[in-house]
Amino acid sequence: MSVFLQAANTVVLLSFLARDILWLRMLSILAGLLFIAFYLGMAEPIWSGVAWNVLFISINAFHIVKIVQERRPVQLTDAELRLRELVFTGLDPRDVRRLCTCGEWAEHAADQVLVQRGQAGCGLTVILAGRATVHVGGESVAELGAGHLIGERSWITGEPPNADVVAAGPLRCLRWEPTALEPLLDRHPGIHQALQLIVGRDLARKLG
Amino acid sequence: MLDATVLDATGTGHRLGDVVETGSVLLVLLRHYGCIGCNELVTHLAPRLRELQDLGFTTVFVGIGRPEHLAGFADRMVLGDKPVTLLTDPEGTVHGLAGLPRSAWQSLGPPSVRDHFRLLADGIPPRAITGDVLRMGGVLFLRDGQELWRKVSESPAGHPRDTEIVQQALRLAAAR
Repeated sequence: MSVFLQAANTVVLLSFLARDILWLRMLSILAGLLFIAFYLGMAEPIWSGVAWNVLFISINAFHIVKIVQERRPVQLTDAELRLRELVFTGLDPRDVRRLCTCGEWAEHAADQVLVQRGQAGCGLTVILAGRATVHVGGESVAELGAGHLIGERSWITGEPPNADVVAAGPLRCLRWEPTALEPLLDRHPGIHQALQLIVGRDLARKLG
Repeated sequence: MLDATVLDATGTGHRLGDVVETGSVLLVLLRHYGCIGCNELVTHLAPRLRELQDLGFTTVFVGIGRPEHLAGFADRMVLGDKPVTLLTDPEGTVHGLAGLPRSAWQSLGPPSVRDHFRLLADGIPPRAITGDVLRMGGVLFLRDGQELWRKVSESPAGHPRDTEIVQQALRLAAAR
């Protein structure tokens, strides 16, 4: 039976040499199984040793599943790829997926109001395809196209929008509710930085 | 605070107000140059200084230490080509006048131990102490010398995250 003990400790030693956490956890599971074999093979099985190793194996198995899920390549949809190409160029595909999952895709017909002046909680919208017109006091002051943001000033300041935005034709966009976006940005500083960079560039352009 | 004298890397004295009284300014009051929390703040903020500049903000770092510490700090944090003015205040007078606390509990107590463990795990090393170890840091936004926003650190790494600082800069820029 001591062969299991020696094998288990050898595998533990190997796990200490692993630099990749996935390998470390897999080797730990193998070592745990060998320890269990050793404890069960004794004349008087040591059940507490078996129980501890079952617990260690369970924790490691849980984390292995999580790591594998995180490492799995992300295949973006055409819309997600277009969004990345237009706006979030430097962002990891996984983060692009997170952003898309957090928001809602929407299609708008011509003349449909996207943002109404003074109406709080308009959220943040990015145009994927089509055009929109910004109106202040009934006059058209700017035209927005693919890759442009809508409602970014309200998102930054928390104040209601000071202009109306109307679809100038069929328009496809992704819209985030502030309540959905903020927790995501708190959890993922990289996404927050990317969004701030885009909004900041847009703001700097308008200020300049 | 604006009348306090700060030194540049050559040891030349400047009235702080002459540096921060005009336009929109992000004033970062660092602790001593070996502070692990300040190292983290500058590590994360340095890549974003140009974003702040594009939004119309001038960034000024004032640390506690002698002028000869500035060059090493700038070198270590790769600030040489960044849009930032580096100044130092050997006695920490600016920090005191800005109302930043001086506390043994916050600097050396359990909050500090927690910060050190967290930052060491993140690969941020502490460096040799160069000035008043008990004084806390803070981040302030000023416009034409008027304070618009501040966050005072309550532990060595109690500073705002870079995303919070940039979000505040966006808010202030949008309100202009």
